[in-house]
Amino acid sequence: MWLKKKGWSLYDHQIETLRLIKEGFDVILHAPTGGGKTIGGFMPSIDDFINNNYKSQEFHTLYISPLKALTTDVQRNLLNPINDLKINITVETRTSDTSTYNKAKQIRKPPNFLMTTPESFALLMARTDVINLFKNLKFVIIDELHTFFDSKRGHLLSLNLARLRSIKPFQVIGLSATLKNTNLAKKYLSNNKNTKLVSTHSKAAPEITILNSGNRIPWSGHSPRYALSEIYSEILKFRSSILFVNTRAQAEILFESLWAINNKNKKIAIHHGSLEKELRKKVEKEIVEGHVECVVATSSLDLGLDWGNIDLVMQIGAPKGVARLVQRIGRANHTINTPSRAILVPTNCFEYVECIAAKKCVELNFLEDEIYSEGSLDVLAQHIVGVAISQRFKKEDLYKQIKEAWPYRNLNIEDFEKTLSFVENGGYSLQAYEEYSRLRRDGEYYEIRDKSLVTKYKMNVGTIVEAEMLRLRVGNRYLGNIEEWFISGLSAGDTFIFGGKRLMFEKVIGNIAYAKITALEHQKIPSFKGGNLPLSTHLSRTVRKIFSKRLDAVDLPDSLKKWSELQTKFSSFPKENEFLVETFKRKNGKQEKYYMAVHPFEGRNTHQTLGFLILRRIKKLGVQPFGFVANDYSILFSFSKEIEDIDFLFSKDILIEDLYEWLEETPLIKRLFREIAIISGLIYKNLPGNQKTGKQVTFNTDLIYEVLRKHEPHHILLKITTENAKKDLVDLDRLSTFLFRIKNKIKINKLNRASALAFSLLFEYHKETPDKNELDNFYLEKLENELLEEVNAL
Amino acid sequence: MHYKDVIFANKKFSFFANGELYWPSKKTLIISDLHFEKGSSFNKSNQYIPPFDTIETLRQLSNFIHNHPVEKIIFLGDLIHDKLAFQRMTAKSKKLFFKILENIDCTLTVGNHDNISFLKDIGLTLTDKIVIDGICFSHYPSIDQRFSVFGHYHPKVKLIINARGIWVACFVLNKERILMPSYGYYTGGLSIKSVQIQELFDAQYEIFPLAKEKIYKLSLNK
Repeated sequence: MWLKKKGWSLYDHQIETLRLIKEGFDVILHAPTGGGKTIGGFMPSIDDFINNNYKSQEFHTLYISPLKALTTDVQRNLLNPINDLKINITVETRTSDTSTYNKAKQIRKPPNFLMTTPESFALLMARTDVINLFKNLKFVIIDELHTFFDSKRGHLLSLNLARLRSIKPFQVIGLSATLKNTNLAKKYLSNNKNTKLVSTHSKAAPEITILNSGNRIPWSGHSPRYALSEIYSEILKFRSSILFVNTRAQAEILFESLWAINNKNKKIAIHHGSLEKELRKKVEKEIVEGHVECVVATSSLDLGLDWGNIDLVMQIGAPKGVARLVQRIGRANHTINTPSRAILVPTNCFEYVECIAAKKCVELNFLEDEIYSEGSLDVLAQHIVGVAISQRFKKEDLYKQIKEAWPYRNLNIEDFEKTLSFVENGGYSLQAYEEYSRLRRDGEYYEIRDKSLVTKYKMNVGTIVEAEMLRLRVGNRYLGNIEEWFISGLSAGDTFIFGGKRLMFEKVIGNIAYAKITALEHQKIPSFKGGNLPLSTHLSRTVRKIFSKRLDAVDLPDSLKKWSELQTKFSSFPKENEFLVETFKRKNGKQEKYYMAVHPFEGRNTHQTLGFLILRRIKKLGVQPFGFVANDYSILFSFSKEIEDIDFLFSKDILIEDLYEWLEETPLIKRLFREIAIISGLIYKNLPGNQKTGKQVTFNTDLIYEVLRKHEPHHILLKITTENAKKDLVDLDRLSTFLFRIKNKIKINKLNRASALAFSLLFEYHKETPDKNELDNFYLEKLENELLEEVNAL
Repeated sequence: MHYKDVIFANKKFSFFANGELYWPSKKTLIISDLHFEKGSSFNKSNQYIPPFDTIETLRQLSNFIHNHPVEKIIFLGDLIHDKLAFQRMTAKSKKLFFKILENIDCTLTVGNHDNISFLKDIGLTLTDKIVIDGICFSHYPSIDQRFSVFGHYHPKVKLIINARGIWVACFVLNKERILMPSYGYYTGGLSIKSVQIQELFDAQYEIFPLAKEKIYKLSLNK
């Protein structure tokens, strides 16, 4: 056999995958990063190619990855063994970066292996010659499989795979490094038919430590400043390192502070998703070539690229999820048998406990269950257009085929018909748009009415709708993209940092924001919102457990011990199944305010919703609420007088009575509607001709949402919005589980001062009130000291 | 309904929060840039915007007429978004519109979107401009006149609230000119800082932003 001839040393899991594929199964290959997963995935393809001595230029294997960068990377890694074997397999990538010329060439002379993304795959599937194109396809490989279970991209991919399967049956191989719920993976991949799992674990457990700083760990905030010098000395110890942070804002701040103390001139770079593509690629290249020794990065470096030369990963700030941490740690040391080394740097006391929990979970390999979601109908609407462009269809056939896609297995005929009618001409009960409808009926068949639809579909395919962005231009260079809402809050002369540069805002023309380099201080930092992942349910449970056992069970640095002692002295830690509510009053200037701090540990999203709902309840009790703040662990309310009936506030019926009212009021739902309007094709972001002029089609989707609710309350887009909101905005499941869990388990501590746990929120509460110009570090430190003094902590 | 009184050309006018300009002593209502059926005009590019903008605009107008004595309406141009607007209008919208035309003396100072051949003989007086008590009403600014009330630009202004900018429509006023906000539901706008608007209001002026059914007043000095 060819494998032996080459004398390759193979991993067992690679051989097993090959065997199972030969027996006709679909396979999920679950192996840690650096474990030869990718080659394992392609082994059956190469084997089949050699054994059958294919000559023709036809698509044989389709590789689909969530990352464009990964397609080029995998292509490169694959070409080595292929050249080694001296076999004539052509391997090409096809993504939005591929030139039109090359794309056309690939259709005339298809490469044997094609590396692509879900979007480019959708575009291929929308071609009229799709049947001929894939008539000899044998394998589909899906990389980073777990990223598709709970995303609209995953929905889009599943729909196209189902359709491809009806055109030409194929075998599929799913690859993933972090997979907990393998059953789910099997279902997603091929509806559970004939799927086998090949799983292997790293022989070396990762070595995780929590950074021990001599300085006091802050009680609140998200700044690693207290540990900056220790972080820097760790960087110096290693040849190459990645410092992961949770938000772009943190990346910018950390990058700047590190350079301020970089007296050894370590080559430190920054990498985040909003940087201009060229700048990002440059950084990536420099890491690979070893020119950059340390990179501060956001989730933009979570997945993908096999660098193999990273010695250290640092996680700055809370890990938020176990699987996510594993993924990040896996970036270090890309060989299967050496341990990855990681240092966690909590930025406040709560995060310290979270780090303990996360470390424990990683060591026990105790990962979260993947979340999956029901197929979203906005994605379906987009898909139907793609299908119609490719070939005419009968309604019943399409319905049957769509239900073969696992996320859409429960799709009912009414929703399908409503979606179809939306695609035709908007789906309004008033038949307003028949004349210019997208689809036309020919007997039982549906087909597109005119060819102009093809271009519009091509220009708007995809499910990732970013916030409205402006391109940021400094001098004659583009630095990247920046949120429109952020820029809209700036006046000319305001300064901010981006990509590690201090900039002064000048003006906006069209969709370009102009700025210039400045030396002035007092910056604003773009986007604290992006990348604020909520604490996973799983991790939250472990954190609760650690708290319930009292922290003396674990080895803590002194400053944390102090924190823990204070909490026990003045209040208490919640027991495992207890829900802790603390009330106290404080003088705020001349006004006396009542406060209630609650500690659900359910993550920011859930807390935000809960906060709004409780606020309504407080009003119902005839008490004037002043507001609330929430973080991943706690919520703090303030109001005008004491509340007696705290149980009433948390009774389960708030979900029925108040939730829908709140949903209709929140501005978040309008942002969601915008996304749905764009994905579903109600409005097109890009139209032919507009790109040249730089003119964007900017409909005010808020207005559309309002008018739709008023005149057509049962419209399918509103239904999709509500469904999406229940899941993404509210996390309804988590909220109701929580309310059920705490029933009759509320522990109320009436305090005469803020407790240690309540403190961090009290701090955030005050942070929101001062003039934003005062909101610099000096002010915050002063405030923290004042508050600390007040709770007797100094 | 929320409004602010202003004195313009020595006469009392009221700016209303939905964008109506009312001249009480003449019982005259002035509104601008209604852009009927702007929403449905996008069907050509297969964008099926909810076709309820015209009815929304008309209901707002009817509501105003119902609550204030109105004997004359001046539409300051761009009544319709395109020449086929009437064809696409629903029966309900048409009925409402024609009822207004029947009962009230209506004048349209023709704008760039108004196709005259589709607006003739429906009970509208069509003209380029109309001058009442020395004040000239027209779609475009009448720069040769002492006092000019006009539309066309759909002025909007950025208010910064909680460090976020929101754009809202507004009236712009100085001693000689009133620039009207657009009255149509889906209509977008042009920043008051744009050159075109700044050219017209080079001296001291005031803006009246319309936000959440209220009208505010900001004075700006150049």
